[in-house]
Amino acid sequence: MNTANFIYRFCLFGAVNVLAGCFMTPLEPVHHSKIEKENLNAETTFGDDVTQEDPLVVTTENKMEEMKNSPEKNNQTFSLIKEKALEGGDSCDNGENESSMRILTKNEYLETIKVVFKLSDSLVQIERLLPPGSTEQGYNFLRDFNIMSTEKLEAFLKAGQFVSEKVVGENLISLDCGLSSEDCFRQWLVANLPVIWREAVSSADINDELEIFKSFGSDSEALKSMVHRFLMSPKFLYRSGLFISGSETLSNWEIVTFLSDSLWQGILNDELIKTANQIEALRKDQILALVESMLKSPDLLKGLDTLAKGWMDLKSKGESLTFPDTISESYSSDTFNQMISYFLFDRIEEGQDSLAGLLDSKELWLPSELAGLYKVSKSAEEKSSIDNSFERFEFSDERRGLLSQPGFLISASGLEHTNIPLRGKNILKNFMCHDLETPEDIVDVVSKVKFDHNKPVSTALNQITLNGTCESCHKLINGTGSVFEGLSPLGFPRALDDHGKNVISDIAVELPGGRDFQSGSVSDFTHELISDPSTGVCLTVKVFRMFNGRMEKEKDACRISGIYKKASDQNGVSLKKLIVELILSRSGHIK
Amino acid sequence: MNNHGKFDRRQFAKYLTHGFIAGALSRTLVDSSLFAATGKTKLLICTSPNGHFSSEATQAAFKGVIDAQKDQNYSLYLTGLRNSCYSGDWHGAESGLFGFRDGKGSAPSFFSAFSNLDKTYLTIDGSRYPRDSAGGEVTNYSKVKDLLEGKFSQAGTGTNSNPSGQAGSNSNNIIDPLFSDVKKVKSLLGAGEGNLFEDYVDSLQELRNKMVSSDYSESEAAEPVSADQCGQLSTLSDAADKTNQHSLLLDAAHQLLACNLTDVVVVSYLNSESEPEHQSIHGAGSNDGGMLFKSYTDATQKRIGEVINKMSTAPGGLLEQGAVVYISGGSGHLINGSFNNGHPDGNIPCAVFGRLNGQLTTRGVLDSTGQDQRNLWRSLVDKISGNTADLSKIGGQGILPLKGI
Repeated sequence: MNTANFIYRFCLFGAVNVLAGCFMTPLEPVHHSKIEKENLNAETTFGDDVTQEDPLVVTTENKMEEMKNSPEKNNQTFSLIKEKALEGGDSCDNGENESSMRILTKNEYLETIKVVFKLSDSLVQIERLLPPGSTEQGYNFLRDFNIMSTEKLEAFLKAGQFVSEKVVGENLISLDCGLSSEDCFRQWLVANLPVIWREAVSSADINDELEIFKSFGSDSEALKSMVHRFLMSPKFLYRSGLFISGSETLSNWEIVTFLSDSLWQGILNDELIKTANQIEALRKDQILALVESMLKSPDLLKGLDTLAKGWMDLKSKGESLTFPDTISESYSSDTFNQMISYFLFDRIEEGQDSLAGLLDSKELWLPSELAGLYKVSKSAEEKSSIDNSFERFEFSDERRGLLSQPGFLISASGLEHTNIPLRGKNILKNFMCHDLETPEDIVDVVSKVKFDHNKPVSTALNQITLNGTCESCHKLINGTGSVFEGLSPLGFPRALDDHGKNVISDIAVELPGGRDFQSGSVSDFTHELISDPSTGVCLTVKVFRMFNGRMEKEKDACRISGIYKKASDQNGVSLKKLIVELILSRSGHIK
Repeated sequence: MNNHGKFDRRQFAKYLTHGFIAGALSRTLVDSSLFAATGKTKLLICTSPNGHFSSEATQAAFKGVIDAQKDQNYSLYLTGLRNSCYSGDWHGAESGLFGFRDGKGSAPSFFSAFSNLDKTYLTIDGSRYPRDSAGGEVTNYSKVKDLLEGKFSQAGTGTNSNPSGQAGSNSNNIIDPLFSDVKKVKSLLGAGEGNLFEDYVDSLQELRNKMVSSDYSESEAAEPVSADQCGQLSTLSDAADKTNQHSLLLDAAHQLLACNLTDVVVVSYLNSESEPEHQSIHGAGSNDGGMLFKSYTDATQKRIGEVINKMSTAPGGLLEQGAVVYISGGSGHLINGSFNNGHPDGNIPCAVFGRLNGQLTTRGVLDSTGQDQRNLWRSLVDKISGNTADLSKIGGQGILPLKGI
């Protein structure tokens, strides 16, 4: 056994410096133009703590340090949050509302193009031009890991050029409305600029834009430039939540945008636009009514798709998975991930979205062809998905809930074999927010280890890992992962494991915090998980990340714990209530 | 070759065989200021996963397919080089390999220092490698079809507008109003919130500087790199299997550079966890002395060598004007005559082919023990920029050039 030192930090996002200098044509000296930056500094107000030693060095090393994503740091922050969440009373101080901005996602970009310019036919081409988001912690938009670069901005420049050329080429904005071109454009601006920039636009703002339009020539070339300019503005490229001085809540547009982005992946309809444009600030009851209607819409599936990927670290595993010959259709891991979204939607729709409803539910959604393979029976109340691609079925008594969903198991397995440590680690990380450092040299260690293939996989694994320096992590992940050995890499039941031995059904499990028990089935395990307070708090943290577009910090502990408490009742925390409370918190409407 | 000659569409068109491509690509050449000057650096970076069998095996693989004279005049094989991102193993270290970091994690790629060089990223299951100047992910193409439709398609209204020109010329400058937008947003932010989107401000400023200073002219565009055969990009047809597709992407990279459609190409072949190549080390490697792994690596290196062999050595050809860098994040597995089926440290496969406009003159085998790939990147950046590049913003400060080149 390799007893190498396992002290190792697995930084997923290390020290990165934004390039602020300018590298000119090769073989020419480097020039830095500071004019614009100095003008900005002169005219705007910064806090006392903003350094201005070098106007071009904006993203400091300290900020990069903050962005590090180490398991130990995340665990520490979660411990603090959990401690406050489980405290009695409401003595926690939520602190000040904090403004935030993050780069918009591809979906959000495209949805705006669709609704404003009606360019549905060109979306594939536009999507190709857009820069990719960097995925960390399951989400591809967290502010901590998505920093604007010259390359990204140039990609947005090209996408904006494409859109602007299409708009003018296909005459999607008319400058020939019976009035002057400027007045025609004014009409268009009044109706559409708020939707592009997601903010109320004043008459002064409209006039400013018209002045630019006039300076460009007030013709079709000018129009093209204006469209391009709108799509390059930070008001479009960033989703903001700004608590402007004196305001305790976000603006109507910011609230509606935030709801649309989180719940519907950016879809915007006439009702939302009308709500965002209303003069009076949205009241809490109005927000709640809006959320209620959005949670009932099939468009919620898109938001749940985002949530599932972030919550459970769901992966895409290539184009199609290998099933027995009896299965005629091809199914990809993405299809199985979709089934989880349907599961969550169904749970919310039926009011069964408590932790028990999610983790202990007997329901799952599958194409009917796979029912025999997965040994599931038709649901007592038959139900089909909106597009009829899936039907609702029921598990047997031994397996329940989200952890039994094939999509989750596929993501935490190899293509041909299960992976006990991976399944265990994923469950601990995603459902209990207990992340484990990947040891240095792990693959080297594994490669040199002699597994006893004459024993069941879980027994052989325990033999090797439950001693020495491996034990501290493996005592937690082995049992947790072994509970699911009766489910194949594709998530259907099996009697023999990857060593060809009978799957062991009675597993000794230890969870973080010293809680241990014997688990006779997946159902036993999920019952224990539901009763562990970490699980509900962890779900709150995961949803916080999604709705706030960033990783949680220690200063969020109070706010998150407050949300957890408000979203909990005698049945534990409820997903729908979590969503509602997070929205209220995010928008500034905190009790 | 006239480095600032007028663009001649007829001259360019003769290199192309497909009407659609001609339309799209010629417009790209006209529109983009990036190709305004010929004589720019051309760089092809090729990767393979998990290291190599040995330095001797790597050299033999390349020498087996590159003409002896070409190899003698243009090849430099580095031995003893480390991977600075190695930390117990090299898994998950791909996103820092092209950068200046120490240890695992994402880092801006060294060529992101050159904001006015056009870059194209091609991959088969290796998209983690190249990163932008903020260390973020970039768009990788795994099919030539997607590359042509994505990077080079400008299926708009056919107007000749150029974003660079828009920003650089006196009329219709869309960039300047954006600074006003920034001021407006900043004025709404509270104390201490002023840096909420400083990354946008910095990127915008750099973009503006780049556009204002670029040598853009509607009638000027680069000619294809002379002597290297250009015009076959549209004939390439995506393959179903990864080895043939790798060859195809290497050919596409050659065409992109030869036709002056881009300046830097990365072709990343697989990552350190791709199977069955990965298990050929840890699984089969413990029984077969590494022969299966060697067969994979030999074949990959030979495919890269084949495209190098196609590159021209005539004046202005790619091997004169540019360079091909081959590298892997893994190390040499043959140690003291035995195959190490774990993750040894040191002696990553690395070779540089080409003269880089006369800047690279060292040939043969160079012992680089005690240095790592960051030193090579530093050398390349210095040679491309004439020692004027400031790498502090991408973590390159304090990194010395590679000794001996």
